[in-house]
Amino acid sequence: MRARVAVLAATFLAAGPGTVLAQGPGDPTTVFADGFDNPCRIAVDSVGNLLVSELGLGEILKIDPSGTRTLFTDQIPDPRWVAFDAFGWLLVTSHTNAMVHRVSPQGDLTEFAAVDGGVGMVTDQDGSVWVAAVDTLWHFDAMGRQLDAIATVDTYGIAVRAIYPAPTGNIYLTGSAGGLWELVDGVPEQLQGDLPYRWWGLAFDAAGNGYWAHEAYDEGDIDRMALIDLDGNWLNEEWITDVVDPCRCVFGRNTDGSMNSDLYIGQIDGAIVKAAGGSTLAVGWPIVGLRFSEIDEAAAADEIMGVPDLLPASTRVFLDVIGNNDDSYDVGDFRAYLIAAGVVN
Amino acid sequence: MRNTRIPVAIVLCALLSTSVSCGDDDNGSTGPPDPVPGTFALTLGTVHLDDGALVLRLQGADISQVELAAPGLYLRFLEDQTGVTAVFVGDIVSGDLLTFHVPDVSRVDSYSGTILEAADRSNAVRGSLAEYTLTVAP
Repeated sequence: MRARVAVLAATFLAAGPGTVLAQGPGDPTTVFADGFDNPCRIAVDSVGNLLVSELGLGEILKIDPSGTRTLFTDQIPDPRWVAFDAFGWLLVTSHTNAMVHRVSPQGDLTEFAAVDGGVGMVTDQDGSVWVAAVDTLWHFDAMGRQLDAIATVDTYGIAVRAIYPAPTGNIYLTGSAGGLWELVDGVPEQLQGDLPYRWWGLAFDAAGNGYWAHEAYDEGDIDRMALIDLDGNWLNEEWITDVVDPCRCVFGRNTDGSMNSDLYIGQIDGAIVKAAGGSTLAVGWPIVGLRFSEIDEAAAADEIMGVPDLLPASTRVFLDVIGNNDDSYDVGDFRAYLIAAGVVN
Repeated sequence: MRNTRIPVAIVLCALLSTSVSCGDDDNGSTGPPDPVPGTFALTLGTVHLDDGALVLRLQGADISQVELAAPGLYLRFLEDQTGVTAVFVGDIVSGDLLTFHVPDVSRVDSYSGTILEAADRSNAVRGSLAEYTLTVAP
């Protein structure tokens, strides 16, 4: 247990009535890794490594499950948000380049799409990629072709700062004025509003519980992780209080790629902490990137040969997008899949 | 058919009461020849120079030992009682695609192939399949 927990306990014991800092179900946290510059942009790869974008240092670090860190790349100027695409490549927004870069597992760099001011990013179930650029929400297909651009400030008065996938199949947005929105058919529907500023990272588990990081800002406010449902209702406003300036949270993966119940919380103070073991209510909702590696090659082939319903509908859409993008899954799409998978040249 | 001929032969033999032995299939003078198993090839003809993927149906009974005849292509196939469905991916050109085993090579005309879907090497699906042929031959 860290020194901070001891301080918290001392504070709890010394506090009089009405000033109780209750321990939440996710307390106490434990330090997974620390000494970062600003670990508020984290992605999880297919074998459970954390990829951390170091704001200010220009580095993307890889942290293995034991906490050992290595440099993944330092070739992207001013890297910001990180997310894995459906092929297992890391997408990184760069403010300097006004670009979303794509980094192969070997560190090779290519351009995915031009976006100025990208601050949040997520890969959707069909492999498409959403990028929040404050005044605009960009939507690209898995190959980086633009699908849509929603002028969120001009149309809805929302400055979108971050995007999160949910088991509803929709994505959730956090943004200006401490708000939370669910994007339904391309339209943001507000679930929470007028919250204190600095409600940051959000991660859903597979049961639809949202773990939402809040950095204290107003007097009397406390740093905490709250628990919400899919409608944005509070389930526990102080699910974790043993955090300092929490800004981001992600669920972990096992080495076989399956999601687990480890909830990592990035803190502005430079630490990444984990919620108390076994405290989350379900395993994490898949960070929908990495879908490519989850596709069953035999099922993809057999559907082409007429065996119905072997693939999830979202996978068929994804395969069509990486293939000929003609709104149906066909043998051309299957060829594109085999090439992308390295099965054929 | 063979099951109905045997009793007829026995009856005829009894009625004629000849000295010629009856029921001797080895002399080749009665009944159809025994089926001879063997291998056929399924051959593609295409006018295109950029074929990248094909799905085809090979129709016929008792097909077995399906093997790729075009080195370098990806092949996956599904067998059922009436034939084989196969998908090929790669740089596809005219020539043998598959070989397969049949129980009776004399019945070559009962085997046929049909292209179900094709795509070029940019993954675009062909709008017409009229310029493809598939032939089955020993």
